[in-house]
Order: sequence, then structure tokens, then C-alpha cells
Amino acid sequence: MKKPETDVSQIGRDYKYGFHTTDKPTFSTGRGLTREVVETISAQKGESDWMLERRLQAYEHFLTRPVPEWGGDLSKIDFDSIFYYVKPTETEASSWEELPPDIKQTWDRLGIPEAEKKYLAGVGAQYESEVVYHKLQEELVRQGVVFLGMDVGLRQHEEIVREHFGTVVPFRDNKFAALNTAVWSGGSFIYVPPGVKVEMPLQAYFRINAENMGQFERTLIVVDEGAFVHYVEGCTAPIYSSDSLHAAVVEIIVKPGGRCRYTTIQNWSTNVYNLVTKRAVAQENATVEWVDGNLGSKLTMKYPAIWLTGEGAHGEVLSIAFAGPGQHQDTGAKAVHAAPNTTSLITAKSISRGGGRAGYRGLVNVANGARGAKSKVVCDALILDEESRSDTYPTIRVHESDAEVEHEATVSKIGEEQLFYLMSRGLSESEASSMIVSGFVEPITKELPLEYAVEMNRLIQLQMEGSVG
Amino acid sequence: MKRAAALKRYRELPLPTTSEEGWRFTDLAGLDLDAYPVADEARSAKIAPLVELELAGDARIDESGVEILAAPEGIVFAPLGEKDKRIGALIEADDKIAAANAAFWRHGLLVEVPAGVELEKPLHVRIESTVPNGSLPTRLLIVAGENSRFTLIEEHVSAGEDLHALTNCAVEIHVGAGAKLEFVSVQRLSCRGWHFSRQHARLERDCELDWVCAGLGSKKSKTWIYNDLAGVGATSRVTGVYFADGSQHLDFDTYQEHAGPRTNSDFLFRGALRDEATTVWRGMIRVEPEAQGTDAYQENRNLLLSRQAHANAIPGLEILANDVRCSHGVTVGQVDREQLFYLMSRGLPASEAERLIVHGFFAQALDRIEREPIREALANALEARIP
Repeated sequence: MKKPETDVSQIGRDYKYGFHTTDKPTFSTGRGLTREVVETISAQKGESDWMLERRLQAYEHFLTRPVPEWGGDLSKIDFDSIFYYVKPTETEASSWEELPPDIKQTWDRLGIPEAEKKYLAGVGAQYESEVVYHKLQEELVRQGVVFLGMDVGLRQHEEIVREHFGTVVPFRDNKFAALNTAVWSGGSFIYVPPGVKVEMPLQAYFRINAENMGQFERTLIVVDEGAFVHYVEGCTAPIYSSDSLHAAVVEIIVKPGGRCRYTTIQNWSTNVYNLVTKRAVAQENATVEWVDGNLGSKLTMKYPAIWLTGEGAHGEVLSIAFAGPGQHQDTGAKAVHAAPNTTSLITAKSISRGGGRAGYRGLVNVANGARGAKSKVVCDALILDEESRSDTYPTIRVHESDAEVEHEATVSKIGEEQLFYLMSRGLSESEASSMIVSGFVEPITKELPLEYAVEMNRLIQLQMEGSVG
Repeated sequence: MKRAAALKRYRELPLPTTSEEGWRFTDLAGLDLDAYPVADEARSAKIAPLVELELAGDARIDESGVEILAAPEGIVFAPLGEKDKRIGALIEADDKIAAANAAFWRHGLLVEVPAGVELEKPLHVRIESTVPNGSLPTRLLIVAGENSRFTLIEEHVSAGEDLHALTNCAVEIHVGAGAKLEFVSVQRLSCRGWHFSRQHARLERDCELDWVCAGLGSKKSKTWIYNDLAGVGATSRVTGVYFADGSQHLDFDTYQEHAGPRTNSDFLFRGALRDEATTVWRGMIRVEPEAQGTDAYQENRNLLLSRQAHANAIPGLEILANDVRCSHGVTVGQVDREQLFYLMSRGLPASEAERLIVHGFFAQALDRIEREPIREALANALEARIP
């Protein structure tokens, strides 16, 4: 096999979301973070005192927490140069035509209005700090489904938000959860009433446009008894020479018998630090599924977690990470079994090439009393060239004898036999490699809605172009 | 490292805490190293041997010193001299426990087998902790010359089941090119004391290291097994078995460092836990960019025999080369109910059926041990722990 070579310049050119527009925001807190910035954000939103108080507590905690030294290199984040709040429009639109032309053009280029017409039950679109567009199908509104931007959600459903906000991810959880709680803006609020099954996905789309932007959306999803929702989020940003920061918090509560699937296609440009805390609670017989695709960003540290707190709850994480030149994907999953007969299944796949570094970092914890708990973790990694790196750091803790926990992981290169076979059938080496990689990630892509699966495969092919030959 | 420098390190360094990655699940709170003075006079003790073997060389180390009971011609099998320049080449005083050993060790053994020498019968050293509330810091230096072949059995034992003491041992192993070393390390101390054992081997070109680690005793212990596969084509195989009961806490910390091309490593650990025992198994396979063609494997399987027992497993892979095959597997579970049901339906009482299943569980690891008497002795020692 010839020495694989990498055409680094190819990647930037292939990132079709790297454009930006030069619209003027209606308000910005400027660079840097102070107590006043936190107060200003809260005042801009006209929030109740309890939320302002929470923000300020979180801000104080953020200051006391050191920058984590594990995972990726966070030492280059310049917290003073970041814009913590940028308000792009005065109000949230419910038709694309209401948006300023520059911003509408961005969404058109990303194909969101088109997708909404075809296969989505509801769409939220966040631009910088605020949700600029939001719409949910009339039929679902009638059934009592709530799908709003988090700020509107807080105003219209303050009691539900107050009951759950910060209960799954408290601000003391980690430095970036504290930061998010202090300066959060935007994100989605979803409530699905008992027994209601939302058949088509709800989609949120997150876009960073400005340079040195900090996006801190906050999402809260409450799925009531026996209900179902599939939430999909996508993220992109322009390519700049300096870095942006995305530090979201997602909290999900699934009540008895409910099910929530949360799909992420993360395709930030390679100048974005993506440091996200995602955690779900699955009550009795509830199901939580995280489908997590990480293709973009400079550094991602994200470990979607499921707390199985009710008997018979089930959790699944399907994760794929693709690390190209200059990228570090430190991704993974956590399953905490805190009730009897709970089950979890974690499947993680990663591919690193062109000097990229992809990893799996995870935790399976079976508490004493979680009788009959079962967990299985399978991690597979492909390393495509000599410059790249793959890491696997799982932690397994079992405090209950009546439990079965399995973990396995493998790291290898593309099998020469597979490659030889395909090439003997007339495929070029590049086509053959691309096909093997597509097959490798298929367990994940087949779980995506069709349109996303097609997009994911296209992205992988782009990433693979020029990677072998 | 000189004694004085080590002593300075020892005084400066705090005890590791659970906020350090390697100590996350092993809490040293309550340990005061200074409360265990180095004893210099052993109490007389009668300790039964693990197994009766015909030995090529035999040594005993206790608080009083090193006693060479038998030493074969043509090799060095002697007390380790303080001035030996190779001391500390592989194990640095990088934490308080390692610094304590470097500063305070008094008795050690040097095993040096010259190039091309083959020993059919094994060498044996027994380290006996006999003084209540004392500490026994010891060192072994093992040098396998090029193309030499031999077996060394190392045992850690206590004088009496109730002896409460602290043992702190550092073992440095150099495996020369083409050599084959079988190293058997059996820790069967009393279940009352502290035990630390840092074991570090460096492997040269085309050598073979076959390592057996058995952890049975101590109240709280940590054993580091570090293999540095430096030479092209080096192979290491580590087989670990452990049994923890009562309130024992056993920690095994393994590292497979692949620095040389086409190196192979295969680590397999199996452990059973009863009562309120806790175990920690950490493993890391690290493949450096130059180590193309690496084949590395790590496995840890745990059998929980009681509801309050608690197993932690932290495997890990850090792979910086692409032409590799690296994998790991971990399981934690209880005795298979179907197997149990099958055996009981054949008329076996539950306890007997469980014993048989545990036996089978360990057999898959013990089968890798080449010398039958050692294999059987360990199987018996493990089985003796099932009530």
C-alpha cells in the first residue's frame, strides 16, 4: 500500500458552510465577561429575579473553577476576547420572510426553509445568541406540544422551566456548565404532553456568524408519560482565523414510558471550541437515545449522558467522530444505572486522518441496588494514516453483583484484505477506502433520518477525498 | 537516585490523592507512612511454602536482611548492592511511595543471568514481612542477558494471618535481546496490611517476557505492572489473577508501552470479589508513532460473588501509529445462572457448583502458565478463598 497523503487545503475548500454575512447586530455586550455582562443579558430578556440570581451564582462559580486539564487543550481559549451576547434581530420571526435579508439568505444557503417544507414537524433557528425563527405545525400545537425558543419558553411556561432548569445539569457540574448557566441565551424548550407521539422530527439549527462569537444555548426537553419526540440539531459556522466558543447545556427529562431521541450533526468550522454538557434522565420504562455525529470543530469535548433512574429504563448512545487535520474529537458517553433492570447500549465509532485525533471517553456506573442492570459498550476506531491518533478511555464501575457489564474496543487501520478485494473489483484505492469507511459508520448513519444519512455520507466522502492515494 | 535526594523528595511530596488520575479509586486517606518505621530485626516465623519445587536458586528477604539459601554457578544471585548504577534506571521516585522505597530500602536481590545461559529449574525469592506495624521496603534488580532463559518466582508473604504491616517493593527488570524470562509474582500477604509494589520491565529486541501476577493478600494494595516494549519484535504476556474478600481493596495498574516496531503484548487479568471487597484494574496500551506493526491486547474480567462487592475497570488505548491492531475487553458480572442451574440440576449443592464455576473462570487465565506446579498452586490458593 502506498503511503497515504493528505491534501490539507482540500478540507477548507470543501466546507461549504464557511461563508459569513456582514449584518449588523441590534445589540451586543462587546468582548469579555463581567458581572455587568451577566446582568445586561438578563435585563435584555426581562427575566424574573430567580433566573438572574441563578446566573450570578453560576458566574461566581465559573470564576472559581479552573480550566480542565484533561481531554483536549483548552489553554488557548481567550475568555476576554469572546462576545458573550450578540442579538441579531429585535424579535423572533415565525415566517422566513420577516427576517433581515442577510440572515434569511444564510438560512436559504443552509437549506433550512426547504427542509422544513419537506420533512420537519417544527423548526427553530438560532443565529448568534438568539433564536430568530421558530415554527411548529398547527396540528402539534393543538395537541399541546410546546416547541419554543428557550427564552420564549421561559416567559410562557415559567413554572415548568423553573421546576426543571438546572436539575439535570446543575451549574456546579463543570466550568462550562457554569459559564452556560451564567450567560445562556437561546436554545429550545420542548414539552410533549402524555401519550403524544411527534412522528416527524423537530429540528433546531444553530449558526454562528460573527468572529470570536460565544454561543451558549440552553435546551430543556420534557417528555411526559408515554410520549415520544425526536429532536434533531445541526450546527455550522464560518471559517475565521481566530476561535469561537460553543458551550451549550442540554437537559432532558423523560417521564415513565416516554421516549426521546436526540440527534446531533455537529459540523462547526474548525475554529470552534465545542464544549457541551448533555444529560438526560430516563424514568421508569423510559427510553433515551443520543445519536451524536461529530464532524466539525477544532476541539469537541462532549459526553452525552443518561441517568437511568427508573426501573426498566433504557438508554442508547450511538456516536461517531471524524477528526481531520487540526481537529481533536474528545467524545464519548455516560450511562449511570441507578435503578433495577435498566439497560444501556453504547456504540462509538471514530475515524482519524490527516493528523487528527479522535477518542472515546466514557463511563458506565452501576449503582448498588440496580439489580439486573445490563450494559454493553463497543468502540471501534480507524486510523487512516501515520500522523493521526486514536484514544479510548472508558471507565467501568460496578457496585451491584446482579449486573452484566461488557466493554470492548478495537483500533486498527483499514483492512488490507478488504481494500484488496474492492480494488480487485475495479475500484480505485480512494473509492475503496471511502466505501470501507462508509460501511464502518453505517450502524450510525442508518439510524439517522434519510436526509441526514445522505448528508453524513456526503460529508464523509468529502473528508475522505485525497486522504489515500 | 541518591538516598539523600530521595529522602528530600519523600519529605516534599504529599501522599497521592483521589484527584490524581492513577489514584481516582484508591484512597490513601488514613495512611501515615511515617507511622510504619523501617524494622531492622525480623521476628522468627514459620511460613508454609506456596509450592514445593526443585529450585536452581533460593533466597529469603526479611527485616534482618537477605539470606541466600542456594545459588547456582554461573549467574549472579546475591544481595543487591547499594552502589549498583542500574538501580532506579526504570523506576523513578516520582511519587511519595516510590520516593519512600528509594530513600529507605535496605535489602534487595540482584539476579543477573549472563548472555546465553539457560536455567531449567526456577529461581525463587521470598520476601517475608514479620514485624507488626513495621515497614519493609525492598528492591529487586533482574537482568536477563542476551538469549538467556530462566524463571524467577517472587513471593510476598507475612508472618501470620493477623500481621499488620507495610510492604513497599520496587522491581526493575531488564530483558535483553532474544532472552526469555518467566517472572511469577505472588502476593499472599496477610489481609491486614498495606502493600505497594512497582514492577517495571524494559524489553529489548526479539525478547519474550512471560509474566504471572497473583494478588491474594493485603488490606489495601496497589501493584504497578509496566512493560516498556523498546526493542523491535519484543513480546510480553502478562497473566493476572486476583481474589478479594472481606474489606480488601486491591488495585492493579498496568501499562503496555509500545515504543519499538512490530512489538506484541497480551495482558489478561481475571478477578473474583466477595463480601465488601473492592478492586481496581487500570490498563493502558500506548503505541508510539514509531511502533508500527504493533499487536496489543488487554482484557479484564471480574466475577462478583456478593452484592456489596465492587469492581472498577479503566482500560485505555492511546494509539499514535496506524498500522496496528489494538483492542481491549472488560466484563463485570456474576456467576452465570444457567451454568449454576445446570450444575445444580446434576445434583451439586449450590456452594460446590459455584466453586466449580469460579474454578473454570480462573482456569482460562491459569492455563497460560507454563509450569504445572505453579499453575496448580495458584488454582488451589484461589479456590481456598471460596468458603
